Amino acid sequence: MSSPGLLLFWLAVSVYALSFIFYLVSLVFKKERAGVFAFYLIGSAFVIQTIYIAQRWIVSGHPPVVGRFENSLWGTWFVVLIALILFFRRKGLRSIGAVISPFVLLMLGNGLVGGDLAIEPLSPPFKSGWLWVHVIFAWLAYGSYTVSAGLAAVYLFKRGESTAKIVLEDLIVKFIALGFISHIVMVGSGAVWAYGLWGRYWGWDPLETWSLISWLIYGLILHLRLTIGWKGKRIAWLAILSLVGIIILFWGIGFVSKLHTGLL
Amino acid sequence: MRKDFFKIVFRILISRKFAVYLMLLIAALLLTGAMLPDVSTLPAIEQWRFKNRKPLVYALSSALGIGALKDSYLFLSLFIFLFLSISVCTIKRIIYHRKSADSLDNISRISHCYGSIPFDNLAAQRVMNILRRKGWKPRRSGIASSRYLSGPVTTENESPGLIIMGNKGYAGDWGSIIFHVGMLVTVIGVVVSMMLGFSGAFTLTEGFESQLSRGNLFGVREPERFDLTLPGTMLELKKFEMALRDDVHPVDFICYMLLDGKEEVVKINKPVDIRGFTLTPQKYGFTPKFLIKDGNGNIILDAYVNLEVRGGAEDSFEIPGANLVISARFYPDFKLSGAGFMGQAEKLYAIARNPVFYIKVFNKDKMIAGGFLPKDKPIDFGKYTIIFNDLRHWVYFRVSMDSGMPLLIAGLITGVVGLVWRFYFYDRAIWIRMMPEGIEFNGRSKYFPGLFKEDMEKIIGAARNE
Repeated sequence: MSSPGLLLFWLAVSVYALSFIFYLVSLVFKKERAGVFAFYLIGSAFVIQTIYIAQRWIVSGHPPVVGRFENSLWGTWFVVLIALILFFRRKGLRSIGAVISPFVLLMLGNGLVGGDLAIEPLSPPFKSGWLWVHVIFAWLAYGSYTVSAGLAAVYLFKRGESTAKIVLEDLIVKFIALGFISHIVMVGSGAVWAYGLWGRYWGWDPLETWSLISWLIYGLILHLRLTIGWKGKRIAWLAILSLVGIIILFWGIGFVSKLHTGLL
Repeated sequence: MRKDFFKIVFRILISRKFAVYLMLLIAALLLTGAMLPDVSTLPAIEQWRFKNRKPLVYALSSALGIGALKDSYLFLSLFIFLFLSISVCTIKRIIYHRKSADSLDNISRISHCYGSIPFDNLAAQRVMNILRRKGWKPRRSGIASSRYLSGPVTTENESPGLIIMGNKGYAGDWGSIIFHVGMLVTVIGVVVSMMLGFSGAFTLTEGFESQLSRGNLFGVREPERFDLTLPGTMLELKKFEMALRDDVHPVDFICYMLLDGKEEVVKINKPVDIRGFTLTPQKYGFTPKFLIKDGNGNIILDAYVNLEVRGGAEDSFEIPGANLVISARFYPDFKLSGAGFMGQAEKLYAIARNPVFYIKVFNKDKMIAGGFLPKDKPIDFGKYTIIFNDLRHWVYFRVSMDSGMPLLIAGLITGVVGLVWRFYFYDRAIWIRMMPEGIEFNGRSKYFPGLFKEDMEKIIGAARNE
């Protein structure tokens, strides 16, 4: 099938890139208005991306979950959605867009490099109600972990001690917790789906293994923060480094093997 | 001596640091395993090549690769320790939670002053209203406040000395307990799956039937100590159908079956349950019927042969009595093109509209003939004549039964409920002291001090401005 509306896609990419430039201007030259403008640009890019996703969805008849390109498209959409919700609730945190926008660009680029832009129908293994639960919670986890890493980056940039920094630290942990909960729903729904599909709920394929590893790592961070009492820079660095595991999970494995070891 | 030993073990298990180290160790082992190639999934010949080329990596992979790790005693023992640690810590949490009946009990010891506003006579009611609006459950305390306040107090409302207390999310600790119980149930589910789970596979060709019995299954994994009785159902694959969109994209795989004479449609994602055993179609292939005659006209083979030739793959089969090996490559929709015999062998999904095989005949490892073999047309391959006169499909089914699955799902659901509870309700307490010199806002939060400070500032702001 063809790939309609690519113009919209490239427009969204361009606006994300512009937003990143304005964020840089805002940070380097301390221009607050540039930061505000960058925020509106990120919002606009998100709207354009949403229209593109909707158009693609209507044409294909399924959510964008087939192949690397569609996954990057939807995954980044969730990241930006969560970031925008945060921006609207806490205007002071709009600067994390400086981390989110380049991340989105990199992820979309990754989807373009390794993925086919053409629309493909949903293959039989994907025709399951569990697809919705599994994929939505996977992206929710991914988005939450990414936003927590973005917040951690802002935390590390902030100098001195302030209430804003303590709030940032709390938000890092809250987003990790949200991701962690979504991660369990993703794994659980995936297990039920896999049992009906392959007759087993866990097969130790690379994606499942990495999913377990990253879940354990985030569980570890929560324990270190909430029961052992780690805080400050240590937690911020852990949030950033753990995202590496998530990046491998969602994007790296596709380079070395098929995502799940599907048979048909 | 023994008592000391158990004490030490108990102390280790109760330590939260121990649980963290265990998780770290499990994550590190899994990470190592994920980085190494999984030799258990490689065919024997690939394993042999790998062993010769990279002996060190092979040795590491054999010991720590995911395939080896998941079945190792090391991994099992780490999980046993983690299970014990979670169990002991959960019991400890329950005991601790029951002992500290009220989160306000120790508030004066650890609360922090977030600010104050000038005293006025209506302040108490105003503060009570604000707290109620913000989801707190405030209560006034006069005489009882001596428990929390060292200075003099009076019992009259609105008077200096009144204390307003409130708390939120005290039940949050139960969320943590529920989450850990959920994890324990999940681990039990996994163990039940490992110990009682059954799986096996069989291949069924269109038009053929087979009984669902142990003897007809291969790759059987079953509990060692529990003898499972398979249903013995007669299964017949009447027809296999593949639906393609644009001749390329598969949109459905349908198996029309007879289960003890009863019609049933089995699809991907729509497995069938046979008395507790789940039957899932896993892969399919093509089954040509070959009739092979030797130079004297004797039939040396007249059979359906299941071949794995999808997507241009080459497969072979042996005719032992004749010392022959036949190798076949399949062109499901064969067309002659200017560039040669291209057909559609390269496509993974293709409907066999004009099926043609490319056949190679080997005798004692030496190729004696090769060429294309269209349907229903006898072709001579050296001194042998081969006719390919029918084409069917085969489907590989997996039969599984997993008693641990319900436990696993119940555990995960419980875990999610516990975590949501845990992070939504977290223990916070507020303690507002009315004094002639001002109203002092104290409080403490078990977690998220920054967000709590923001909440407190909002309460103070509202109390000041309303």
